[in-house]
Amino acid sequence: MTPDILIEATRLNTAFSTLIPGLQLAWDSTSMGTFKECPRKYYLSILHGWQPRAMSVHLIFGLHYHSVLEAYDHAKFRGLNHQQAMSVAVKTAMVLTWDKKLGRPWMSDDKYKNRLTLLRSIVWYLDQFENDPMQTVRLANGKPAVELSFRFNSTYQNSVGETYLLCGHLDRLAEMNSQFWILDRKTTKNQIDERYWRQFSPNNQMSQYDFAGKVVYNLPIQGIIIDAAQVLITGTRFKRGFATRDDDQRNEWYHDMGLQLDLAERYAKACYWPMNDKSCGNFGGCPFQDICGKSPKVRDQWLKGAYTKRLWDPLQVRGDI
Amino acid sequence: MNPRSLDALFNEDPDDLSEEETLIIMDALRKDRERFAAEPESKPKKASPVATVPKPKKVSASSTLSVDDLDI
Repeated sequence: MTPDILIEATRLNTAFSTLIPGLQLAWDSTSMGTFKECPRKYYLSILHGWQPRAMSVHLIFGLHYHSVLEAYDHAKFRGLNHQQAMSVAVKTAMVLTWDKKLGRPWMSDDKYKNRLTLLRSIVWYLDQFENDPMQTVRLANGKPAVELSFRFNSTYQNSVGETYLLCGHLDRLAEMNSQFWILDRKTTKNQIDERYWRQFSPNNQMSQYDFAGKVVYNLPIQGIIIDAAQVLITGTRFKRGFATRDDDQRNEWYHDMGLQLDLAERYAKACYWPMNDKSCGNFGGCPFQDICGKSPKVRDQWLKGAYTKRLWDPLQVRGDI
Repeated sequence: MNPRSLDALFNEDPDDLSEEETLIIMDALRKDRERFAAEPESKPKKASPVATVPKPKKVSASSTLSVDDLDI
């Protein structure tokens, strides 16, 4: 890890500093979450953009799920009724999961997450929440508060005076009984029980969303509503959960983030991101576990063989699923 | 013209799907929703009240301790 390698790796990435090679200035929750999880994983997946050649089925499913529900939200906001908006959603799902080049549908070998269960989950979710008391907020420009990109000054600076930004995307901003909530949708194979909900408090992604909602939209945000879908082979079950934050919790998260940013600068200056070898087995196993398990002198060779590169620039792409 | 089956519709280029065919897909997907909603949620299996203790394995003189054994 040398400054030259870092400059080359982040040359096209607008989220990174040009003064301190390898130091990210614009942080979405994926970048920060990965950095907190394991600095080495962050170095490989965010800074260099390495990812396994086969895109995770969970990622594909989640991306489609969000895009289709967003299409429904927009259609409803345009004045279409439930049935008409659902038709837009189904058509969108069919198009997104069709491989034009190969002339065939998206083939998933996962029995839980595939084209059929995606479409079924969407139709069932929309029917279940047809008369949802949560109403999408109308922004000042008249547009619906759906799939909102945000970017704001964190007020933290690095040692050479560059400002750190927080950025990302919110699924939906909604109002119920004069209370404002950020709505996020999740899919899982696991049972949606007390243990499932516990993962969202504390939770970096939810805290960053909540913080952003409060700062950017200047609304009395109560917290996050999570619409969770348990995708099974024979059906999909939905539950709604709440993750609230008070101002003391927000201040604590913000304070901790400042320390993480200091650490990010320290690693960048040292051109070194250490492994957190206690997190390799989390969340079904890190995709870089095999790489980190090899001798440093052969890792690059293995990366080039089994992984591919993409640019993770949170100022341009969607961050969380 | 006979309506195409759901399977056929799923293997059709979606750009060619008519409004009616999109509705057919929608209704077909809705069909099982009520049946599934009526099914009880499967709960994790409870541990048996009578715990069985596995017999200790014989350790050969040449066996080595794994790293996990030290992780307490």
